[in-house]
Parts: sequence; structure tokens; C-alpha cells
Amino acid sequence: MRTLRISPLTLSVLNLALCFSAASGCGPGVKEPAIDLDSQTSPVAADFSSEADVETRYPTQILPFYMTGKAGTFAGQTGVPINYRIFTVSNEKGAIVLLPGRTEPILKFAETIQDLTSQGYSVYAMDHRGQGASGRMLSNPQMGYVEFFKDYISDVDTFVQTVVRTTAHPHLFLLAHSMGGGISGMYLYEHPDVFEAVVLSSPMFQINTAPFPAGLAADLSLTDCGFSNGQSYAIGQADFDPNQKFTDAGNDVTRSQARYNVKMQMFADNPTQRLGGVTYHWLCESLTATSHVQTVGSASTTPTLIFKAGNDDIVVTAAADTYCNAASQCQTKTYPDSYHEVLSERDAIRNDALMRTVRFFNHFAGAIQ
Amino acid sequence: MRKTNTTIALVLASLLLGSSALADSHTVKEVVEGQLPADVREHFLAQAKQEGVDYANISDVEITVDESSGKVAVQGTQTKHKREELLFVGVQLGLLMPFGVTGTMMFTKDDHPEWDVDLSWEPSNYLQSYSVGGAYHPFKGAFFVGARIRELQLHAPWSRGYDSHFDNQLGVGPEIGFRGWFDKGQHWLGSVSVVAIYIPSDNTSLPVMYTLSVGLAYRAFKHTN
Repeated sequence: MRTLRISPLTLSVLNLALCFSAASGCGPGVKEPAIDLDSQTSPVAADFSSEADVETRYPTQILPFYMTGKAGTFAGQTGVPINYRIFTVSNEKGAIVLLPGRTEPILKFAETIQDLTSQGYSVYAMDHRGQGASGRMLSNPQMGYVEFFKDYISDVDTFVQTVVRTTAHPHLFLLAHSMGGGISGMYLYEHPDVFEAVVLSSPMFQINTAPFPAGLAADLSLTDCGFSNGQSYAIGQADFDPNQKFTDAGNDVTRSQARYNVKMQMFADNPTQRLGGVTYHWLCESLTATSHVQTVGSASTTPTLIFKAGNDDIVVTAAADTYCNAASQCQTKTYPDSYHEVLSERDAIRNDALMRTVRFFNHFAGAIQ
Repeated sequence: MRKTNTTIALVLASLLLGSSALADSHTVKEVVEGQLPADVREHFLAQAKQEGVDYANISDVEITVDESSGKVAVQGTQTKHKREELLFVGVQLGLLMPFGVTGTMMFTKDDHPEWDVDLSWEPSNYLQSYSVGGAYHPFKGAFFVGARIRELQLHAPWSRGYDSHFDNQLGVGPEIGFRGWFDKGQHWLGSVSVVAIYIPSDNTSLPVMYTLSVGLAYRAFKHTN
């Protein structure tokens, strides 16, 4: 319920007054207890795909499975075509909407989608605008760009309303990674009653701007956006590098060489799905949007499980804590040895995270074992 | 007593170096508190008391020095300060806010800036800012310290991305810089300043940001008291 609108000026003054005067400060409200995932016996980590043979299974099993999904497009905000793919399971426990991170096509999640469907969940996956197989908005299609961050959110809502909800599902869940997590945070704020439970992997609640301090990064980006249309690469950003090696410093997303190789092969086979670095305009939109999403945790009533990577260079994991601490029902799981892409990491990390994801959804689907 | 007067004459002669006049005026505050030894200072105070001068208001008291005689006379006359209000309008360029239009009201005392307040509108292709700044010139020169409060819009109200709830933020922060006129006629006002922006909001966590701006303004109004 957000029918009451108070001016931001009033809110700021009230916030200052309340935070400084209250002995308890600005703490969270009533917290629901965390869901006990360890006491469940199924599934187990071994039920999920193994990196040991993923490179050989990808062309023979995983990709053919992915191609069985029902592909479609819809017109997103301003008519940008949004690509999606549906993987239905008969007698599903529920449906999972899957939102990838920046640069990631849903094709990259083929292995994960197969794992989720094998656990009895239908999956609805959507490529964000400007990446994957969805429409690009600049003449250089590799430039990471979005006109307004809220377009991402509007696209998700259109997807949910016109695609996902056209079929009745016993339960509806959300699984999102990185930028998909940031989009989800704002989507849940605007649409708190759509999903029964949410799992966010390394959500982009605050971009790690290192080596630049956050204030300087904001200054540089917002200045560029003020002067220009921001449609140029930000400092240090460039087109996708197809020759990047697993051991390169540029690989700060996974320590699973097998899954890294699968990803690079996927981009080699599908060069139109590549995406390079970010433009200043994307940075401006994302810096301001993520500055909001950190603050909306207190409005979150949807049960949420957040995975945090201990070696995350892409996002500031403390922002997830800020969100989660303020939410009424939110719990985190940290993988100290994980890079940013928890769901593309080594089996010990990735499969534990998937196991917890399914157990979390099973809890709300009434399918606990 | 004669020795004391001699000392006073020597000190005042050095203070008046460059002056061709045999007599000149200085405030007691300038002479007594700034330069003279304690015993000489006591002499001044005694003389001031004899002349019926209120030492509590000593900065507004005028003394007359006669170099030829080496004597100092405390006149006890009140100094009439020249106070003016000058309104400047101009533009500014900078970082974070690339462009701005500003109106500055400067309050001066004896042709030195003392206080100023300004209204600034800084539109851009992205952020919009409407701010009020207040500054104090502690050394009666161009250097100032101040504070600024601003309405910062993270998207322009006329853009498709505008969200009234999230995009209107109240920013506050200190400001430091230089603001003064270029010419003796006080027609052109230049400024360089740095402002920190802290947004104490419950719906954004933007980091503290900084603006750097360089401005040029022309005097549109002047009032002398």
C-alpha cells in the first residue's frame, strides 16, 4: 500500500529528525524468522549439473534442451523488442521468472534453467533490453545502454502481465542475478504482491565503482550525462573481448574454468548476443536507481533469499545487507570463495546455491521434503 | 612619558609608511590591538578613557596621529562605515552541474565583501538543481566559507524517466571558494567554489558528491547606505 505520498523534502526533514532523535535510530521493523533450509533433505547439491562434464554436455544436452523452450518477443517500453523463452513443466510446483545480470543473455543460463525444470519448476526467462537477443538501442550494439532504468522495470512488468500470467501457476517465484536483482528490488517495491518468494544472486544494489570512490564515480558520470547524451563508453569500458582468457584479470566473475569456457563458446557461437562495457548514461541511470533500491528494503514484504559472493568486484555486497536488514523477511547466504556469478561458479558454490534456491521455493510451494 | 610618546611615534611612523600626509587616521583597534607593546597600549587606553571613548566599541573609534609632533590624539569620533548591497546576475560553468544561472546579493562594508547570498538554477542534460547559498567572507576579501541547500532532481521533470517520489532530493553541504569583483567599479564579479552535496534522504543512498563551479556575473543593482 503506497497511496500516501509525502513530498521528498518533508520526508528528508522527517527522516533527519526521527533518526537523530529516536534512541533506537532508524532500524528495521519486525523481522520474520529465517527459513530453515538446512533441515530439508531434498534436493541435495549433487542433484544439479556438474562442471566436470558441462563442456561436453553443453552442445549435446544443455543447448538442445534450451532450444526446446518456447521463444517469443514482446514490445517493451518505447517499442524495444524484448526476447524471452518459456520452459514449461507439466504438473509444475510453480513458475520461476528468471532475470539475468548485465551482459548476460538468458542463453547463458541454459544449464541453470535445465536444473530448475528438473526440480519441477517452469521457467520464464527474459533478456533485458539492450542485451541478449532483445533490441539494442545504440548504433554500436555492444554498448551497455538504457535510456531510463525504469524501462527495465516496466519491461519486467509487461513480461509478467502479458506472458507469465497468461498461464495459471500454483506459485510464482523470482530468481534474479546482479542487475536483474537490482531491477527486481525496484520491481518488488512497485509490485509487492506478484511473487511469493524471491532469490537474488549478487544483486546489484550498489555498483562497485573501484578504483574510483563512489562519490567521484558519481561526479564523473553525472557530469558527462549533464554535458552530453552519455552515449559513449565510460572510462575503461570497451567492446566485448572474445579473446579474454579465464586467467585474465578481466575475469572477475567465476572461478569455474569449465563454465567460463562454456560462456565464451556461447558468445563465439552467438556473436550478436555479446555486450561490451557500460556507457556513461547507463552508469548515471544505474547509480541513481541503485541508490534508491538500497532504501526500499523496509518496504519489502516478499520472502527473500540473497546470495552474496565473498570476492565480488562487481557489486558492493554490504548494500544487500542494508536491504536485507530492513526487509521484514530476508535472509542471506555468503559464499566466501565465490566471485560475482554465484550461479556460474564451481560446483561447491553453484550447486549449493541452487539447492538452497529450490529448497527456498519448495518451502513456499508446500513441497518440502 | 616622553619616552613612551617617542615609541608611539616610531611605531606609528612605520604603520604610516607610504603616506605623504603629516597626519592620518587609524582605528584604535588597528593600532592598539595589532601593533603596540603592552605599556603603550595601556597609555592609549588611559588616553581614550580621558577623552571619554567607549573602549567596548573601540573598533569604531578614530584616532588622529601627528607625525611631526610624535603625539597621538584619540578623537573619540565614531567612524561612519560605508555599507552597500550589490546584486549580481551571471552564469557559471562547472563539474557535476555543467551550467548555471545565478543571482548573488553581496553585502559589503567599506568596499570589502562581508556576506553574500545567492540563488542558483543549474539545469543540465541530466540533473537539475535549484539552490540557495549563503557565504561569509572572514577576511573581508574574496575568500568565503558558506553553505548551500539545494533541491536536486535526479531526472528532469519533463523527461520520461522522471519519478516525483525518487527524483526530488534535498541536498545540503558546505561551500568554500573565492568570490569577488575584478574591477574597481565593482561591476564584474568572479567566483570559484567547491560544494559538497550530502543528501539526507530515506529514499536514496547517493554518496556525497562535489561540485566545482566557475562563475562570472555583472552588477545589476547597487545600494549604498
